[in-house]
Amino acid sequence: MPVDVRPELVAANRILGHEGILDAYGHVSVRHPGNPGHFLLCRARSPEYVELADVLEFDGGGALVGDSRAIPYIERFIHAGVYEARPDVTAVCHNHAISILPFAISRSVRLRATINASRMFGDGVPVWDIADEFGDSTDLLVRNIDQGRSVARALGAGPVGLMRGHGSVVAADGLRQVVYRCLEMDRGARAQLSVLTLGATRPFTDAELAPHPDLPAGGTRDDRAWEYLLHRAGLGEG
Amino acid sequence: MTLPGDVMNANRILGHEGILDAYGHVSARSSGDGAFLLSRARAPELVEEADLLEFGPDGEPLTRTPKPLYLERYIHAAIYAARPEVGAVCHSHTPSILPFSVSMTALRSVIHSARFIGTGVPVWDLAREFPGEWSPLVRTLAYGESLAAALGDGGMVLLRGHGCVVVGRNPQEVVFRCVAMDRNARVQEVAHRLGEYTALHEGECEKPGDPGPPVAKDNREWEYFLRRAGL
Repeated sequence: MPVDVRPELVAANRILGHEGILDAYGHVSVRHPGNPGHFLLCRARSPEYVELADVLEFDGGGALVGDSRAIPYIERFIHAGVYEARPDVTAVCHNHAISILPFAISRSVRLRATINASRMFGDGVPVWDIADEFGDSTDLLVRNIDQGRSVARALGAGPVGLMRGHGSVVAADGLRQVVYRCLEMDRGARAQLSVLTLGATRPFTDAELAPHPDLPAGGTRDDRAWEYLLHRAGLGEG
Repeated sequence: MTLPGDVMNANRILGHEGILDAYGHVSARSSGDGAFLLSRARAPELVEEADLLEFGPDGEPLTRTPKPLYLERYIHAAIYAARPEVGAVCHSHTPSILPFSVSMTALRSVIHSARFIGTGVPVWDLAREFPGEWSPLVRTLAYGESLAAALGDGGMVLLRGHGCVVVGRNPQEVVFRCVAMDRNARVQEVAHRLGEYTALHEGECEKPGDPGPPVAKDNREWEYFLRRAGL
């Protein structure tokens, strides 16, 4: 019997809402532990207020499984596209964190590694522009699986992709890692903005940004951050 | 929730979210003949249903009252008269949009949640429209009508050196638009400092007069903002 990931999915939603990565909008999902072609995502509700009963199951095409009449998020196809393209990914967050939005429209500056927390940005985060494949008259929302697959192609093998005029998608192995990555993305973007106003910089070297054999993808860490984030969101364990 | 309840909540939410502070106000149309509900002169975050008064299309209260009133209630009166489809109006001095009310750089849609802003928000300049007027306040119906003309059929107009006006079909839509406007202005200002940036294409913005399907009065963002404001 696979472990029930739904409580941790609810916690991830509430933490990212509480920390201001998600607001009224945005969503986080997890790959179905017993059926890896499917994923779990809440009904269309603000992340900070989701409950266990809001968790829904979707198939690989983004279709709702079961007979629930709940309203799903329109942009569930982002998750479907990424899970299909990336077997290594088991958790996905779509967000509009305000710190990354300037980088999602800038043609002059790319979001890139500036501090240790944002090493995952490497020498530049890709930006997906919906207009490239779907024309310049959409409402920018990812409304079908073709568009979800297009987002996943732009994301490539990386942990973060920006969406022009819209937000970002963050991919990770596990709900805790996707939460950590969202917070690191926000810290990294804010640090980079400040650095840009301070003049000359001390950038990371290519050697520093290269994957290190002693550092597993996603980094090693204990779970002190998870306890901390649960506590801050009023979800203390026990 | 009744219309007075929605007006009260819209005021409280926009106060809580920092779109409004001690000043600014949100109203809603109360009848087909241009009447509207607006609070007595009180900070929006503190507005109660009992503070709401009904005003006529001339901007004056339908029932005489000794209570102090917002000087700029004529903004609301003139817009309800000019725009039959508008059901709610907010006047604010949100810090993020103020630079765009003075700068020659136009505030425009750069994020999808602010598609209503369009490709360039008009800036209304009271001092240019009414030479000799020293105050930036919209304190007559004639000033309000001039402002409404500058708004045209758009969702938003800036008041030079002063603030902005946002309109919508109901108080909920005005709240969502104000929050999106604030985010859009902050993102555009930062992106501008970074250099070149891509704004929303014209076809990606809402068309004036065709804003899309009506906003539900009871949806996830309304729940979110009510709960955040402790309502």
